[in-house]
Amino acid sequence: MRIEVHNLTRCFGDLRAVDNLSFSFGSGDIFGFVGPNGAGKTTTMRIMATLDDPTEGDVTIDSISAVQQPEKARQLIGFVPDTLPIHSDMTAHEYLDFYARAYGLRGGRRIDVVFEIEQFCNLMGLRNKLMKALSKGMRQRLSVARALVNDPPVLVMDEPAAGLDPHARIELRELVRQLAARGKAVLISSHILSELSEMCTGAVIIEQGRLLRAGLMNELDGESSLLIIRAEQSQTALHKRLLETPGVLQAQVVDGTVQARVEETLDTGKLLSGLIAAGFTITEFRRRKTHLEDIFMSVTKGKVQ
Amino acid sequence: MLFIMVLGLLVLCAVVAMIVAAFRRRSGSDDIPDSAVKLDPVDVNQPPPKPSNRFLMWLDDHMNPIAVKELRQAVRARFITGMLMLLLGVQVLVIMVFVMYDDDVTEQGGGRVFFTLSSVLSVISLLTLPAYAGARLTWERMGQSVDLMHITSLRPRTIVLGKFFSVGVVALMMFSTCLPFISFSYLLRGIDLPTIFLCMAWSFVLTLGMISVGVFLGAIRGGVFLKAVLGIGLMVSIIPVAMSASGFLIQEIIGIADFSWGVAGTAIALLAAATGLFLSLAAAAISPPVMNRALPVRAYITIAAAVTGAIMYAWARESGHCSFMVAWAFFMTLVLCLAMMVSVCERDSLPMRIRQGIPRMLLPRAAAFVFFSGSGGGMLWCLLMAGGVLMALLASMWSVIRPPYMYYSDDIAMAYVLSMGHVFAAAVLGGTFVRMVSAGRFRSSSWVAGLIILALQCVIPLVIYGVDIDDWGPLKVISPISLFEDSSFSKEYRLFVLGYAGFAFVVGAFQGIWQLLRFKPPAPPAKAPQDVEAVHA
Repeated sequence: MRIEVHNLTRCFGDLRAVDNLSFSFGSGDIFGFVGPNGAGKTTTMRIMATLDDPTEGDVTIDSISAVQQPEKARQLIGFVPDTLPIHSDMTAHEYLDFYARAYGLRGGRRIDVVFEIEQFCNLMGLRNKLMKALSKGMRQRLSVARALVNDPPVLVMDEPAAGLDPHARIELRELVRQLAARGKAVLISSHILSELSEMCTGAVIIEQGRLLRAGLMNELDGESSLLIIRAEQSQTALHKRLLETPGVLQAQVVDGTVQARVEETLDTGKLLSGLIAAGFTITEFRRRKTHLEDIFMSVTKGKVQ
Repeated sequence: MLFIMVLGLLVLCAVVAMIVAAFRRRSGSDDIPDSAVKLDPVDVNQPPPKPSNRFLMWLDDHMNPIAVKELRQAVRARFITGMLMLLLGVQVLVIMVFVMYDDDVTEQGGGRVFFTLSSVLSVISLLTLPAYAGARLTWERMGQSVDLMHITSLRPRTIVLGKFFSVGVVALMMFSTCLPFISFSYLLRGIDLPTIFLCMAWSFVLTLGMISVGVFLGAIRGGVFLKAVLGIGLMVSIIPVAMSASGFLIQEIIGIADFSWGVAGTAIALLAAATGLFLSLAAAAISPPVMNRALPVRAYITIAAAVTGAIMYAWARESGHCSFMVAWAFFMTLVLCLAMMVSVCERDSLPMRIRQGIPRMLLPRAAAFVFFSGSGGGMLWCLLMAGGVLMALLASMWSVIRPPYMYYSDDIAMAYVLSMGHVFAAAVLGGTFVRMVSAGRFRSSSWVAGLIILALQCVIPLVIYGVDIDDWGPLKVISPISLFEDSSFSKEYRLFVLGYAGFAFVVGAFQGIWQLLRFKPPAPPAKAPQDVEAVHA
């Protein structure tokens, strides 16, 4: 299953909320959808969920167009909004049962599907609780459960972690990972980049409706990687030395270490031996895993957020 | 009478208190810590029981999901429980007061008791149930519930019918709760059981009509305040008319020997048509903007106009007078005037998904133009419908009244043409003005400009010359008020309105033709890019 966004454009009057956006992701991927407020994330997600129509472009899920065949596309996409609308007089089970009916599930199959989802999302102990009595994290789990009722291969989640406490965030992260492990393609928007870094296999970064970068995490890092180096001597001297080294693109002193962005082709073994030969006593030398914050700051030049 | 007024006031206060309590309870339910929620002890591997009765299972599967959800919520809603308890209490109180303090109650006092009890029931159900239906849907519109429903297999009409049906069931419950008390009035003599049941049936149908208004108000976009103002406005304008119509009908029903099916049938047909209209409007309002919202409304009005027009025509032929047709034409005029005001506010270009439904063949495409969203198609549809109504009115008068009394039909037809001309001109010119001034930005407020133009036409002669229409002189021709006063429709007045509407027609025609030329299905989709991944670099 491959989800492809082709040249998506959405105008509201003179404003181009989404501007010629193209990216793709597939089954088992968890793609973070990152951008500042007003960048066009929610608009794009609403178009993907067939709730809005693009001015130009299309979204296809294995060649089924969300614009031309919205009824078919809806069966393939589950949408999780930022907050779960509260139906104060309904239990969690009744809520899921309602959506199962709304998706046309009937008889024993409906009962089985709801039961399985309640088990999967760890809602069994909450099924008879009124929705107004649930915590925000529980409601968000219920929201994910609702989106899974029709077993969609694609999940679009708009800021699902907003306002959750750390415990609920961890639960949600695990849930998303399990979904990806089951072969679902997940697009998840969030402002908490560290949260996304923990679970995402790729990211789409947009700003003012335009695509800045998209792809798997290792692709996003481009042709450079980040080295963390600590020496017993003055970090300033090490910093100076690194900046003079060919292949080092950028270096800065952070928390008693020097963080150097180096070309992907640079031989780090040679760099280390060169530093030791230059008299530095190196106590830490490691390549840091790509963090979404770094990529985001690098592609937006640190101008936003 | 004083007793009924005091009782009504008390009931109203109780209902308002319940609504406020319900809203307060809803707004204060956030931020519950996990530790505060106690999990139910359950066996997570224990599969749920399945119903064994196949018929019940079949019934359960085929019920409207919205109705199931709403009824489940209604069972738990304190508002509904409170309403029923209140209603029961008031009914018991009324009967007690009559039995204890009305010395003549045992001698033909049943009519008075019935009137009081049915009035209490009608007032409570006409006020609270539409408010309940509107409030529930408004609440869901404010969150993202309706959006989430749109991405399921539910269609807007299923959502609206489910809401209507569920509140209808609540109404049925209220009426069945009160029926034993109301039937008690039969034992006091002065009223027979068929009258009681017919009156109750009429009140119930009227309540269903008002529930459709509540559903419509809940479905439209807008804040709670705007909806409350609109709701109060609609209630104030509809309920007195409905109650006086009820009074008239009840008189007809009580004098059952002279019962006129023509009058009752006309009232029920118009009420059913209005209920359907509000429901189709609600379905259109609740549809996402990417759907052709105009289709359900225009299709419904066209079909309802044809059906009700045929029924009225048959009754006109049967009874030998045209008042049924005139009532129908008046109703249609009202609907078409509102439709014109709405049409000018519609968009000029259509989203891609709507354009995909446009037929590719030229003739079907031209016919479909009037059933698609868009100001041009909307105005053209209004004009075609207005022409159709006028033709039907004239045709019925020609065949029912016949010469030498034809001057009567001429007057009505002319009044119809002139009133529609005023509204059409104001709507089109107001809409065009708003589009030109704001570059289309405030298009959706065009109806306000139309109303302002109509209001100015009414107010200017009043301000300059005072209230006496005879003093208005040449300005008499611009005022729609003259239409009601000057039944002769002077030549100058006809010329002005026809010229004014003609000018607006030319202006509207240009916009309509421009839209018609752009009314085409989108080109077949271009081949997808071969390498989307390329953008990742």
